[in-house]
Amino acid sequence: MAQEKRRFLNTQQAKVVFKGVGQSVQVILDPRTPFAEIERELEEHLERSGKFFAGAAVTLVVGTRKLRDDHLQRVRQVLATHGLTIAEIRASAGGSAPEASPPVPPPPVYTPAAAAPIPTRRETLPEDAALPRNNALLIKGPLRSGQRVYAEDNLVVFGDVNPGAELIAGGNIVVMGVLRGVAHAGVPDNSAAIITALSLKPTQLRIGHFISRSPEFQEKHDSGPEIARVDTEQIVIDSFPRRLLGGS
Amino acid sequence: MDGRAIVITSGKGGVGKTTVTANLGSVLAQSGCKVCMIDADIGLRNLDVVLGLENRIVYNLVDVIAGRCRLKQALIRDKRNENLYLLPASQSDDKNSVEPEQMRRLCQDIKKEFDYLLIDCPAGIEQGFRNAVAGANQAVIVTTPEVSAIRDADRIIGLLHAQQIETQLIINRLNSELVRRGDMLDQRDVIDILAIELLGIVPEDQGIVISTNKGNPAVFSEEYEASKAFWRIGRRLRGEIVPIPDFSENGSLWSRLGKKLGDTFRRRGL
Repeated sequence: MAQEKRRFLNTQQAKVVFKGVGQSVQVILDPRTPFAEIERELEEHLERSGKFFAGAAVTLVVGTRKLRDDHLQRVRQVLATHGLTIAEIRASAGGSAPEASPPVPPPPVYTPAAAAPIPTRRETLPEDAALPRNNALLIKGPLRSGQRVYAEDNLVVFGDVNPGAELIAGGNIVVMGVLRGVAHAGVPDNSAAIITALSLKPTQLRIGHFISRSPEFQEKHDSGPEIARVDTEQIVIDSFPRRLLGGS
Repeated sequence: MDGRAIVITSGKGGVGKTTVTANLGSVLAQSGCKVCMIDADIGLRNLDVVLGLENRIVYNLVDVIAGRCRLKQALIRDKRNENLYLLPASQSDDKNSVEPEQMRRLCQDIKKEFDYLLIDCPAGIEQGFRNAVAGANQAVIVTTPEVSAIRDADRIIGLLHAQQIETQLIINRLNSELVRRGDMLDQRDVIDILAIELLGIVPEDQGIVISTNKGNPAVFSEEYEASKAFWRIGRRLRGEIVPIPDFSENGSLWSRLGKKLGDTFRRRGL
């Protein structure tokens, strides 16, 4: 229900934006929209504007999107048929480490992709199912107290997340290390998101609008990789299912 | 000569930054290096008291930066070691009377004359901290084996790494008796979280309290356990490889086993 609503809201926003910046023209492609849609909208946009942009050398802003070669080729073609060339391609730092004290992070606008929930059972996947492609922000750890990372979609941290550090993601969160801080997956309302870590010892876990905190007396022994997800209206933690790793 | 500027910092107050600065400075000077200590805790100066040099202060750091005196006039030579100097903080100004850029230039000047420049950082992460780290090449993080101190140290390490400053760790006031009983975090727990190089461990020692109150750093009287630790840290700072004793190590297998069982029962409330 919530996902339907978000999808609807998304269609209100333009997927391709033409923007004059100084002397140049920027073509901004929404990084979360499937390429087919981008392509269609780009064509429509150029069709509508007729010869207005002809001759312009534009800056292509792809944001966090990893533009595939054949897709780039396609964009080039579409632009060329209307007399535009690409002067520059601009991508935002997809995987750069966060600043320790970021200049007041803008209130994040979360538009998590309506991604299918990560299947927790192998048998739910048909043999030839194409796995949905998602965006993931990769961050190198350790993340220390006071550091906070936002990802619009999935978030992967290589290293530990210490107490006092905070992870916030529109999609799933994967920590290749010890998660001791706070993790909030599926912001704002995707309770199908999961949080997983090699060692799950969080101060607090949040998935969608569900919150759980760690038990007051945490056992010291190492329980191995674990996965947190929402099951029957509460966050539950299982040891990382072997099934998902392809084991028996 | 271009010395190393090392900031001694912790985030949390009261973990022993000033004590570490005074003792480390003394150790380095005793081993023949020329050492200058800066008290960067403007408004709350302490280092002069711990060193017993309070009555010799004429000019201070803010005077030097404001150009009211030359650097040489403000430096106080230690009464025990002629290689050791102190640039005291002003007690009547506050942290905002100095800018990081001014500190950086001051440190640059001092480094030309000394082998080591130890900067005693104030607690907190505000202007005082920014001033203290501005001129530093590397940082020594002081923490006690307490979760609050470790949390703050972690924050500080994050800030320093963002500025490309190398960090090493001193665990201060480790009580080996408490560690053995499993009632205090041991060095492994601390390193596990902070994940930086361990420069040394200073055991809890009442000798430190006695000597601090006398204004005579503990390392000048070698019989204390803590002073031995400072001597080892001094040698490590100068590049020697000196093993770090394991204060949590408990010889026999049976006592370790006993501790483990004890922990389990305590957790279950038995």
